[in-house]
Amino acid sequence: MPVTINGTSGLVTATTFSGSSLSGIDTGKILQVVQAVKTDTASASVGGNTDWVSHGLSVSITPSSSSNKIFITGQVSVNADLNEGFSLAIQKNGSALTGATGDAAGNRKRQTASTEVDYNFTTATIPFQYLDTAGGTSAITYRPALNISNTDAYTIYLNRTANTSDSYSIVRTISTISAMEIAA
Amino acid sequence: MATLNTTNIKHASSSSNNIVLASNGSVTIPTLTATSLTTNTNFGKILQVVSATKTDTASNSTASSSWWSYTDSSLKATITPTSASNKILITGVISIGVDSQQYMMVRLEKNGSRLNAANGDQDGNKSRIFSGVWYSPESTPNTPYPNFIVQYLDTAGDTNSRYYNFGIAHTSGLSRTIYLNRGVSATNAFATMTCASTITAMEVAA
Repeated sequence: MPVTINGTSGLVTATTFSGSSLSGIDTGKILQVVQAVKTDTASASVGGNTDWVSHGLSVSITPSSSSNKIFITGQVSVNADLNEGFSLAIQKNGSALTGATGDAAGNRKRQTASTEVDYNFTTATIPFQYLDTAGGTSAITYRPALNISNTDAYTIYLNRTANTSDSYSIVRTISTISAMEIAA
Repeated sequence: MATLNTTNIKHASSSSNNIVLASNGSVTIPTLTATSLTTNTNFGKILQVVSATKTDTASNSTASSSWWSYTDSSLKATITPTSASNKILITGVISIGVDSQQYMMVRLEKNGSRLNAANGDQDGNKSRIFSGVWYSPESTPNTPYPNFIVQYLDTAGDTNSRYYNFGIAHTSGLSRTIYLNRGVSATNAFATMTCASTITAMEVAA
């Protein structure tokens, strides 16, 4: 018997239901989760107010509805050959995600998060999170754009220290970025 | 149990079939409204997500041994659970500066008060915090630092609206100015940055 209807309890039993919408029941809001994990190292000479984006850490997601939200969360593990301020902005398809950065204030750089690199023998971790609006149903790529607070060029590192000693006390780390689509 | 042999069910005023019954047990219903649904299919557990992102800056002269409970709407996640037995996953990142070298502390608060289970256990007069770090900036640091991340899975407990927020403190014996989303330096330059802080709450079905 493929379908049964209990007239007393109202229970309808079937092997499958299909349709375009379902109401009255909470079915969960997280529709998909994608993640990128970078476990190798990368480095680049960066300065002069230039962002480093070719480090290889990014995540792409294709929303199912433009009104849905995208929750972005991640962390980067960084170091530099100069003790200096270090920051990042979340980029969406190659442009800074303005709502995820500090408000405009003169010539100051608008960033999502920052830290200070004080030592060359350990990495600093910068976490970041933001709830974005999808805005479309085309694939979106999110990535952190990394920056050192110096107008001169210095080498900055991802997942490794500037110190090159082959020693137990020198670390190798990972960086991650995840995106979750959340139903509106 | 009586058996009705049919393939379509149509409302008297409908121009087309409303419910289609297939021989393999599949039922097609354009819109299904019900109060419960039991199925072998796993539905998601995240029922709602709320988030607040603060993109401007703030500062506070915080006395020794005092907490700056930051309850401004720009950086608190307000959520109303649908069931007391559900969970609330709180996650957030906050950028802090301070006017001198200090240990900086952050705790997770609920409705402006310390959420005990989300912070360290009671141990005499010690501060119960989520995390702390030594802040050793340059004399006029440009960079908001440290950058704290907070994550905790709370139990809803009831279906009342509540908000989650950050509490911030320093360990100095004097009053110190604490900054949100900026460092101490007021230099109007590219190397002096403004940042964003965020806090998110997700209701997780029990």
